Amino acid sequence: MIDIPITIIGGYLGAGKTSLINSILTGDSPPANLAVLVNDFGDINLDAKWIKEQSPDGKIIGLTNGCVCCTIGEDLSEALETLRAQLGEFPIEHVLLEASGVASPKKLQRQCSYPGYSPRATFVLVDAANHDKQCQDKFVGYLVKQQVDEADYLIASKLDLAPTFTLHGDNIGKVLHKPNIFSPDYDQQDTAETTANPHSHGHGFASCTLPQIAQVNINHLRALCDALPSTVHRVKGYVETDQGLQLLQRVGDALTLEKVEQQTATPPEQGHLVFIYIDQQEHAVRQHLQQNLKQHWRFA
Amino acid sequence: MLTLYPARSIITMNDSMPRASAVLVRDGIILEVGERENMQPWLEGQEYQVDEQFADKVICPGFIDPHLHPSMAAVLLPMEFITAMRWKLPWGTVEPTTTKDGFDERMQTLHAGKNDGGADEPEPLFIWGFHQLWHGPMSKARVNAISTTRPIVVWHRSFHELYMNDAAMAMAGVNIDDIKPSDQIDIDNGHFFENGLGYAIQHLNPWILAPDVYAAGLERLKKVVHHGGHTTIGDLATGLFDFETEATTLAQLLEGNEVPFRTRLVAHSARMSGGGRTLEQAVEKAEGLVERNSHRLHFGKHIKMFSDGAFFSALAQLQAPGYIDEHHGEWLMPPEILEKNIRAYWHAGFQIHVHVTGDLGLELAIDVLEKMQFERPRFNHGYTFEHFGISTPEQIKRIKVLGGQVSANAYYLHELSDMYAKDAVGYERASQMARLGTCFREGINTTLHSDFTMAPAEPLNSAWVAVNRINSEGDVMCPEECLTQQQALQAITINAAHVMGMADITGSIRSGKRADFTILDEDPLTCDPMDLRDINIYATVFEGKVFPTTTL
Ligand SMILES: [Zn+2]
Ligand SMILES: [Zn+2]
Repeated sequence: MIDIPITIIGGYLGAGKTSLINSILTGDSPPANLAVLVNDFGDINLDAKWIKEQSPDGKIIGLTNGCVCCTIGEDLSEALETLRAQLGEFPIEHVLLEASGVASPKKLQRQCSYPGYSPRATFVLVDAANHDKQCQDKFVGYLVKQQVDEADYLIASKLDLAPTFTLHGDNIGKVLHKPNIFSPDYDQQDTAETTANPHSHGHGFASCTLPQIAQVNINHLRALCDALPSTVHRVKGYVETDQGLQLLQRVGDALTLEKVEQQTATPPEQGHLVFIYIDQQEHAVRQHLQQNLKQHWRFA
Repeated sequence: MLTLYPARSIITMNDSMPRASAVLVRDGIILEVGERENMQPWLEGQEYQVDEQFADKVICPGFIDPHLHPSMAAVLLPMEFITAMRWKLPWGTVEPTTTKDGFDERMQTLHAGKNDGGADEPEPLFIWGFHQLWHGPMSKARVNAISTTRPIVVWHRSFHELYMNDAAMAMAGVNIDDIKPSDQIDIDNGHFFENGLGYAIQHLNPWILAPDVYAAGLERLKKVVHHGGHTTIGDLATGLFDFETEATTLAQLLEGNEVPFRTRLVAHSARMSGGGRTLEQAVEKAEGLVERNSHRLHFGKHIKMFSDGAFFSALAQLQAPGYIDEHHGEWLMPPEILEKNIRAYWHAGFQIHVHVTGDLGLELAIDVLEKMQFERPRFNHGYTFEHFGISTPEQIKRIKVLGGQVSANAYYLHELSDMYAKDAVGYERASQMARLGTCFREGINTTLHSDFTMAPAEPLNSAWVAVNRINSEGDVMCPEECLTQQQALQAITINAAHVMGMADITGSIRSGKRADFTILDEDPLTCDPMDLRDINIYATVFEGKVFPTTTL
């Protein structure tokens, strides 16, 4: 029998794990036969109820943190055993696990390698509005950075509240824009070191640089960026627009355009954009770019 | 009927009359303690007896362990112990086993000593206490060498991992084909750890968590508590496994005339909030628990919270410079959730007990208390820092100013300080763990606990550690933080009673309190400090009723 895949949703308190799970359950096509394991931390349990009400057929099991001095009464294994025991009644094909806000994604991923189950990608949500503050907090600063470092993919939330959001650490390339987390793109884990599974091989990232050949209307530019596939993690570069030369940065959902004052900055000889995306999706991404950007950017 | 107990000496723990020679009891209540000749007015025209059985003994206030876990104990106590440290148990003292060969020999003896009563299948053998530091690397082959037919499970001292032989894996229904290399199971060695331990427990449940096994475990716990000399204990997280099951079973098994102690039940806060309740509803539920109270079992306005990870697993959260190997500890709940929970119970007037192990975990719990005092000042709130592994002198000053109390597991110092000094945090901080002398100098109400099964449930052993500060290697760690024998006895009696919110009825021997006594062969205040933990407990008296320890 094939192992049941477990997708982990991590991230610190308030990063929007529950909203994400809820949007999956109420979205256009929630995956069939999905079991959701939600973390039950005191008043967060309210969320569990909320999720349940919105999901008539999903199977939800609440987790508590198990025992504190030891692992007797380990909730995760109990929940996994319960699901397995009921496979006849509920043919589960996929498990979505909401990590506790204080969990290490790496550790949790190791724990999801369990008889009958295998970990899939770990998505860590980052609260864009509070990321800076959290990273400096004397109690959770380390933890929040650790969660970012250990993620396979990152999803930034609350970007509307933080238009100038920048992620700390080296994982900038892992930020996804409105991903469909069940897409086969994410079947493999990103980095081998986040798992004890010797069979996993991760994604690499590829990039391409497109020189600009024609000025673009700034609103059109925004629309182009909005339409980019979620496999494009990051875009950066200078763009000649009808409102002058702009420094464009797009991380996850966040697009920032900053007008470049030609007197103060060294103007680039020519506008250009750098796109960073999952290498396995190279073909699809390039096809998308060519179709939509060829009026203004040159393709090799 | 009045009973007068003369004694070689009575240590009252009431500063106004520290010593006495007789105590007079009626209906479980102390009428008067002092000198016999002063008690005549009580005896005039009354029927009374003079009970001489303690005439050559020392009477102390009944000992109190304000933090242990009956449910954990119920799981552990049916197992056989092979441990690197001494464990005194009612059915025999487990002497230290500190070598690989010694461990194998003990396993062999336990295996050979099992009486299978003619059953077809050999009875399984559960062993607890293995630690590689003393007992060498464990493996399935090593356990198979003891027996290939008897299921044998060897549990690590930390509880975080176990080993099984082939027979045990067959018994538990461990399907080898089910297990892949990445699982937290080393199947060739029969080694189950982290979530792999969870898998093993799920499969061993019928043998370790079945209701009858649990009940048998609790029966053993009752004996352990009695033999330790306790007359009051605190269950400091009722609902560790499952709230309803535990509350119901404890109500059945820890109540009744033959139970020689009372239990303060402090509910696990997460179990109050579970099941979709709002925090307000959780507080309401916690307040309503007193309706379950019986004579010996009391919920009260007490609640348990958790800050940072387990000390035995080096998961305590530390302030800079942290751990030598640069790993970090864990939070048991997000600090904001901890604060929110504390706020709800603080405003409802609860006494809050916060599990803290490292100095960063402690810092969080102190910061939150400071916020609460700013929002809504309270006096005599009893906010208690539980375990108190690593702390700083500055934090102790803050605890004093904020009106907090300390309930310490001093045993950390005994069992872990050598390892912590060499591998975890360095000598300075390791030697100063359980900074209890400073707490007493600051006048903070300070008590000692076992967190049983984390340490032996023997108050005299906890006192011995706090007084001598001797670690597993025999080194004295930071004599500046040693308690006096007087302070240590205070810690396990009247100070513990304060932490339990029961100082009005127990914890010292004075007129009007319950007649709860621990009867000793030797005087714990004048004996050689090194002999403290070996003083024989002759009997306990719970509410006037004598429970000899020899009847077991
Ligand atoms: Zn525990
Ligand atoms: Zn405890």
